[in-house]
Amino acid sequence: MEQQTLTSHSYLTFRLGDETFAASVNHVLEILELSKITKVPRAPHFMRGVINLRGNVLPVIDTRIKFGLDKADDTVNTCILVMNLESEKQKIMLGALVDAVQEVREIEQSSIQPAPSIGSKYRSEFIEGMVKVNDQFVMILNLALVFTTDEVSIIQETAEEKISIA
Amino acid sequence: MDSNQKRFVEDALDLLNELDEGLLQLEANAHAKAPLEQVFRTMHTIKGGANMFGFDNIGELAHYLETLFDLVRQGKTQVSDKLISITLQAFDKVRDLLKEKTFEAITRKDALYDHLTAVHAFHRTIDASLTGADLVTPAGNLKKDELATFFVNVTPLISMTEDGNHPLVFIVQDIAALGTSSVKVTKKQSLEIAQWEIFLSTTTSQAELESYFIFVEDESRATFTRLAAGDLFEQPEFIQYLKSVEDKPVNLDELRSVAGLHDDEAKKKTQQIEEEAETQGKRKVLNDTYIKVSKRKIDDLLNWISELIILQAQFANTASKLNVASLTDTTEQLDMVTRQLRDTSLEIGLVPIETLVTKFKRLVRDLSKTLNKKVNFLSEGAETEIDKDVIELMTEPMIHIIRNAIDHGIESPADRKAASKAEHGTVKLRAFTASSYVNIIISDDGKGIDKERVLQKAKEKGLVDAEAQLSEDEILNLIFHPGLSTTAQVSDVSGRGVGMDVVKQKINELRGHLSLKSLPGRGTSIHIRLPLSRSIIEGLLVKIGVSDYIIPLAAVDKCYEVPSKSLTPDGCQKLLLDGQPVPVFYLQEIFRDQAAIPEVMQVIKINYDEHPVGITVDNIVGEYQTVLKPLGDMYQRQEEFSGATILGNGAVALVLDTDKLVKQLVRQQQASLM
Amino acid sequence: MKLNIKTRLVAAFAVLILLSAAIFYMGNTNSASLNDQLNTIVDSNVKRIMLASKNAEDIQFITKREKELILTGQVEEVQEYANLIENKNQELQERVELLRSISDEKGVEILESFSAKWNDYLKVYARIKSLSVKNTDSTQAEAYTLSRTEGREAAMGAVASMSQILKKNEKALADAKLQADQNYEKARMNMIILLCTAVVIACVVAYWIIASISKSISQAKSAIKSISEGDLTIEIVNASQDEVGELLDHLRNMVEKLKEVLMFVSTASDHIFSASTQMSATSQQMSQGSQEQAASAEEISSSMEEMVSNIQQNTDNAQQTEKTALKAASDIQEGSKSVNQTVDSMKKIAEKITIIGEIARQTNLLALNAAVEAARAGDQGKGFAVVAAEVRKLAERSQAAASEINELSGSSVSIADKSGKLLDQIVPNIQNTAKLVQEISAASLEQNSGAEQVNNAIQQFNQVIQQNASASEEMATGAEELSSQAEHLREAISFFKVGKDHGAGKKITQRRRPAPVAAIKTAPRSQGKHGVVLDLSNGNGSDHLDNDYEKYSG
Repeated sequence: MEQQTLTSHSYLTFRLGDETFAASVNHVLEILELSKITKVPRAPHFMRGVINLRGNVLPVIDTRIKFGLDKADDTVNTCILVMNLESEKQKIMLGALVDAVQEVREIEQSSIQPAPSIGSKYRSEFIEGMVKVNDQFVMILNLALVFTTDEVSIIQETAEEKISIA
Repeated sequence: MDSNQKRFVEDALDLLNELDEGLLQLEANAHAKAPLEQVFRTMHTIKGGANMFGFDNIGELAHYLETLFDLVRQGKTQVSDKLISITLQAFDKVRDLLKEKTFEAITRKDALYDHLTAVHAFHRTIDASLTGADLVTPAGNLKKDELATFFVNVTPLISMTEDGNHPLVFIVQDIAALGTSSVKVTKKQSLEIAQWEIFLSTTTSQAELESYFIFVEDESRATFTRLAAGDLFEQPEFIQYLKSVEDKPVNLDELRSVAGLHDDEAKKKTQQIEEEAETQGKRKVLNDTYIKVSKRKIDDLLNWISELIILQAQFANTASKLNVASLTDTTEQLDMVTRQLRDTSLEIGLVPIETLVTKFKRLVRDLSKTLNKKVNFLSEGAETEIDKDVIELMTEPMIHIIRNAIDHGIESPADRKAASKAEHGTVKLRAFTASSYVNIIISDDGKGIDKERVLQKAKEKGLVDAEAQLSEDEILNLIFHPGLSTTAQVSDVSGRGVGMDVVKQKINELRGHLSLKSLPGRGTSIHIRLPLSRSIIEGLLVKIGVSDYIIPLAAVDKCYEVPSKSLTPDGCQKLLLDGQPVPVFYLQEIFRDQAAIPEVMQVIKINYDEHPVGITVDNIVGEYQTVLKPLGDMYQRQEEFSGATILGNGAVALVLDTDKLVKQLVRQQQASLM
Repeated sequence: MKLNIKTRLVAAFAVLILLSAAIFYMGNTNSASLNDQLNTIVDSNVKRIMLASKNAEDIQFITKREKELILTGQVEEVQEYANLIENKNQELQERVELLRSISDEKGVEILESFSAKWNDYLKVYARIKSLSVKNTDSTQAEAYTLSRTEGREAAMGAVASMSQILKKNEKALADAKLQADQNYEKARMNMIILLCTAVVIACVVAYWIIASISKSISQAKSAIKSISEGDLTIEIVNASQDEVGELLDHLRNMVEKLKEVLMFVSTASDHIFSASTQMSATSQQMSQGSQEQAASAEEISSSMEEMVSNIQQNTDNAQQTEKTALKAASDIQEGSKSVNQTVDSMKKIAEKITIIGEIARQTNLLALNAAVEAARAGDQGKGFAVVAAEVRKLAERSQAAASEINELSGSSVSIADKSGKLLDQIVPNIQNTAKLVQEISAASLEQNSGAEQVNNAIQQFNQVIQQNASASEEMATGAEELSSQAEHLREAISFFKVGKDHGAGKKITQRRRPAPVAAIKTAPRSQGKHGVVLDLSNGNGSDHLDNDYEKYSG
């Protein structure tokens, strides 16, 4: 029992397009329904804007764009994950717009497979690992890195493109 | 750290400021009685608190220093520069310690070792100089008071009962346990305690007795009357008297006569002490009582009040739609009350800049010593209140300004004499509140800024074109340029060249303004305008497309209505406003919010670096006072927005930082022109 | 000689008047000459005599006074006398002048001699007078002598002249008397002759006139007498050309005219008689026709009523149909409303379900949040995490159920909507039908009222026919009356005898045609200018009026 808790962690799974991702609940504060987002002009494209989170201003990232997906219309299932991220340099709170949240599930560390460095759509440093749930691969994200990176997209690019972005 | 310890740290930091103030006063006038008492009392308080909450190292240091000052009080030694310096340095260290985050870090045994030894050494020198004085430990000195009988009247200023767990109850019990005592409790009808009257015969000194009440002095008033030497409880008249006054309040005169206090000296002394204690108590009463509340709580309160205001606005909105007379009345009242509430709660977060002033006094003293300059520091309007965050954020920049003033501004005494000025230079800080701004003017009567040199330097460093012709103001503004320092050699005081630009940046961050005036040979004056609160913003609510924006009123010069036809939205154009050609930026285009352009566009003239610049908006809704919220690190790069705010309808409005916006736009334009 | 009575009378009276005038003229001429003679006598001779005698008298007076003047002796008296003399002289002079004016030459001569002798006297008198004024005896005596000598002589001469005049005039008077006697004798003879002639002429003329008038008048008298007796056959012969002759002519003409008129009246009354007889028959016929008409009208009326009742039935049926249609429409509307309500309710249900779905979604979200929170709490949150997961599952299930219900209600709504729409479509059709039926009903009603009106008209018509029948009855009576009156008229006319061909008293039987003559449209009559269309028969040719005719003819 004790052993198990140490090796298993809770993850919140959510959907973006056809793919399912998992985020450690340690970073997720809450899930919000979509509310009016105020656009901040001249901000990067993936920055959807800001919302009023109980009197505070919360920046919202359009995760689809960040993940290199096409922009899609918002639906009733579109949610904002309020996340609290801490990287070595900063501590930030932000909202991530996802197509739908699915569930909180515990994933045993042992079942997590390392992300393939080749052939994956996403750059390996952003993926902590993969796990198979119901015959579907769920990518466990390195949230802090995904959302604090200055780079616009976390999509695997060709070397040249990478340089140009850097 | 538990909450009590945190509270002590907060209090101690304040007390340290007070201590600095007292020490500086004492240094200026070594024989002044009041500062001495203040220093002593403050030290004692720090000692008591430190011991109570387990900051033993601080308590120890405070104890020894207190002993030293007690010697001064007793007239056994004099206030000396050495004493002051030792004390200041010691408490500086304490201050640094207190800024550590963990209890363990603060209470490191060895942290104050150096200072303890220095104090001990100094103490020994005093002891040596004292002939025939008993050389007991300083702590024992206090305990050597002879037996005396006191009458202590304790009046709680807040509501409490005997059963309650208020510390005051225990303090009273503690005091009663210090010797032979009789405690008389007077209660109100509601069982709340009206006062305690304690007759105590003890060997504990009055000062020590008083110290028991230090942590409850906001909540109670204690007066101490030394009735007589010796134990009055041994006197049958006194016992009889006590019985006679069991049901009624004690009459001091009567008491004194019973105590047989006819000795003039004794009476005088009693009175004096009484007066002092009274005045202190009185001052507290008159100046209101104070509660120490954590900043976080106030922030929370403010947040909730902001929420309340937003809700109230929504409510008013709904009510106006319903158009019910009674409801309208209520909403209007509610509006008034919430505003009042907001103003009041905003004021809660404001503290006097006194603390800054003390810091600056200290700074001036230290610097003038280091630089061998004679400088007087004058302050005016130290009671001016400002947001605590602002004070914290402003401390560094202002220290920098004062440093500059002393380092670059004030001449050496010899130079001053040569310039037929007083030997002592003056650095003056004046603070006052005007509308929602706090104005701080720091001026010196030094030599002023050498504009030639500034210009030369700037040219040397390639900051300015070698042939450029600059106006005086422009030259003066150069000193805010990063990487420019006018002192020839780098000192540890100033001249690292990262000074004034940081100052300006910080002030800008606070949405403040800075202006500089300098007259050669007469001195320099720096005028800082800061918003009263970091989070309160007075702005103009405007609409561009579907979005709301707030332009800080401070930046707004004038509003114009211009038919859209006369505007061609392509970058920057000049528009005649009041007969003056003004460059105009089309925010509609810049913000890419291409809603239908209204027939009449509003042009707002703003000041950018003393130059008028126009920006267009679709509609000016009106003046708006609101609470500024940070946009967060994610939008760090959107410098043109200093934050956002929540409007009455719950929508988020972005707050424009016009200076940065225009700066960026100008840069963009220049880039595109290249 | 063709002289009418007037001329004859005028001529006779003219002759008589002329004779009378001649007689008068003669008498008058005689009288006038007599008168002239008389006038001459009175005016000149007699006056001269009177003046001359007066003058002689005055001279006498003056001489007398002269004597008294002389004798008086007193001055005053002298003057008085002198004055008297003077005045008398004046008068004398005046008379002399007057005498002179009416005297003939001889007479004037005499007067001249008188004046001369008088003047001599006056001279003497002047001397006497002046002497008398002196009033002395001598004077007196002288005067006296003078008077007696000279005076007397002068005075006597004057008087003699005067008496000469007197004598001359008395002789003239005697001559005149003789002349007058002669004239009278001559005139009386002429007068007697003339009168006798006149009497003879008058007698002749009177006889001639009377003889000529009396013959004609007696002729006229005999003619008028025979007319008054009704005999218009008399022959009036006229011989004279005068006024009475004219009168006879006119009388003859009058008789002729009268004869003509009587002939006409006689034939006319014949005609009236036959016409009225025919009229009577016709009106009989008319009456019968009217009765037949009335019967027909009655028949029409009853047919009409039948029609009206049919129409009424029609109307009732139409109304019934309309009511039924409307009922159906409203029922369907009700049904449609119900369906709509159902749809609404379903929609509301769908809404509510949506809310439930929303709540389920929010619950889901909440459960997720709780799960996150629980997961963050680690072991302590384990139990809660399970609960949250359960809640989430429940929420998901309710969400699914809600969406299912939503779908179902959506399809039900669409079906109900459809049926509602269909019903809604039917309603206007039925309403249209009802409207049409309503129109039919309205038309029937109108028809009904029209028929009613027609019926009324027929009733009125019937009434008129009845009236006509009675009128023709009356007319028949009137015709009978008329024929009897015509008979009377004929009788009255038979009083006049008009002679052979103009027989007014022709027998009526002659006018009876041999019966039956069917439908004689015209009765050709030589003198009948105004043809009358009569149809006296209804085929049998005999009716009671004909019988009446029989009686009349008998």
